[in-house]
Amino acid sequence: MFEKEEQMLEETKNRLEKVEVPEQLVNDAIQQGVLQAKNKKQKRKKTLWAFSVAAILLLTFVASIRVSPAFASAISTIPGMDRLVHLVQLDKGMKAIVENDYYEPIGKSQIKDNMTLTVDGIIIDETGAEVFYTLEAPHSLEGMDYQVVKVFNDGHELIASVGYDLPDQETANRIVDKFSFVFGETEQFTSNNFEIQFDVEQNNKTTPFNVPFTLKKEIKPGKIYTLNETVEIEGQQIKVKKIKIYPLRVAVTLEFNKQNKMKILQFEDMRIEDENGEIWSSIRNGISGRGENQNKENTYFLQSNYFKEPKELYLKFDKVQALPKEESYLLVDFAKKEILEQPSQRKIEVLNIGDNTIELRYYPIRENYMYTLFSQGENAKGEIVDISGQSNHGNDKEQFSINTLDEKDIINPIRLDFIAYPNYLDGSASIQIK
Amino acid sequence: MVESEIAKKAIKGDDQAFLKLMQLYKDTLYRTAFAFLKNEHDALEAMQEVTFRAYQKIHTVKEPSYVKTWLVRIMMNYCQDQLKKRKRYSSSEVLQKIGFEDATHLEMNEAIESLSSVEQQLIFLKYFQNTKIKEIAELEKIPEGTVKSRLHKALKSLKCFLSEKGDADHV
Repeated sequence: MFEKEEQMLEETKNRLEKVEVPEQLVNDAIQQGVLQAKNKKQKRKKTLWAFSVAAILLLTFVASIRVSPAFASAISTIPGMDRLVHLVQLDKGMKAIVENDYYEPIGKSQIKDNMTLTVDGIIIDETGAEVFYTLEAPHSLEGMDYQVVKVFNDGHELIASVGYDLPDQETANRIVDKFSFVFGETEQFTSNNFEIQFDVEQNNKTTPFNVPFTLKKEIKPGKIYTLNETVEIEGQQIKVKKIKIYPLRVAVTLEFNKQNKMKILQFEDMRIEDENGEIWSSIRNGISGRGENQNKENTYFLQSNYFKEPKELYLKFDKVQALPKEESYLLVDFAKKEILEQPSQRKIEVLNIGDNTIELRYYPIRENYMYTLFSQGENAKGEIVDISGQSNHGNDKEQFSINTLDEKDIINPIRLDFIAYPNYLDGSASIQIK
Repeated sequence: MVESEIAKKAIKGDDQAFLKLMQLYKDTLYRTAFAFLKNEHDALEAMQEVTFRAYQKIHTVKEPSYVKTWLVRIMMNYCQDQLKKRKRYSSSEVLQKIGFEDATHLEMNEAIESLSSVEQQLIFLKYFQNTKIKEIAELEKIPEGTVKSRLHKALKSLKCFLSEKGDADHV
């Protein structure tokens, strides 16, 4: 009945099968598609940089979270805390804070555009603030993001970088999370009046929230130890300048000798032990330090144990990540999709280079932790290129890191300095703090 | 490894298997895109977008042996959406780019374009991909009889279009 048409269709089909497939371009398109999907699939952890970005380098790493039932039941008696267990569980210092009643419940709400924001509570000291909140909406919060998250004291904005998670389920219409502020400088507050401000952005619609609150608890001051002691590990000189102990974190300020041949990156097991060799404080989840790219002076944050005061304290570290200064970066041409320079160790492998993305693979650096590999890039003109997106995923055998650079700033080649790398100095250090 | 084994793994979330699947079907998918969009640039963009969509949704595939058709359908849906968007700006410019000289092909192309989206997809699957009626029926969640009658109607429309066109050309 349709013989003629079927015959014509057959011819058209044969013609179509002769269409040449541009193999390499198609492969690239597939890779890009997978990258794009993976980027979206990952739970987005975001840090808004509030410092002048050029000078500041933040070291971050993220741990997988497990909740111990014992701790969960212990803190569920504190009003509003039961929902927040997962947020404080991992951090020993944060647990101690809650147990020592330094967490201050707030419970103030604001309703805007049918969304309800409740500031559940806060932990604040001179170095930062953890603001616990719940955001609820009658619709899915998928694809939402925050803009300009700010905290004010007495009407003055506190300069801070802020980290937060975003919901990854398509159906989530409620977020229980916290904003983690790390102040640029230690702050001296002028009153007990604070305010949090931020915009919720979803589907190009912006809803501003601002919730003022007054703290009743006294803000605990830091305990400062000035040391200025130098240790040498594998010929590299590291001066321990100061250790400041605050409720939320311990800040260890180190200065690296200019003559050092190696660039010092992360201290995987930096810790403070008491007179019995028990660990009093260890590496912190989240923002684990800050410094500048020149590797002169970095401040590393440890979990605090502010409320427990041992007789003696010792700062110790053994596993120090470092790379020879002249090869502590990747030099990438995103147009040619080529690596021009990279560390000779080759312990981190570049898998894919897209127009503005780079995917890397490596053996997990530390069990249950993921390190951020780069903080920012630098283009051929010496300008900063922001890494607008970073996602890490993997298992105990291999990990992947996908970094998306701000396309508009790409002028090839781009230099990406490593801030973490699985290459180590051989040796150990121990310094008595008190 | 046989195709359905790879598909099974990919459905379970195995990234390597997913990439293997895309390798297996990339020629088919690219040519599908090309058949609809008719130029390399758009077809490549379609490959990326369809990979993205497929990666996100592959866990919803119930029958591993139908995964190829499932992918082709995603591609066709994407392409048809693109063409609708394109239509708002220009209509004929696209056809000029093809560079197919032969009349049968051009005529057939035009004839297929005159069909509804659903009919286009049916013709494409049945005649270009040799997809079985049963598979189409299961994927579309409609009875086989309905597939057959739709196909019949589509062929009839083609015949109609071609003969009208033919008549018009001869006038």
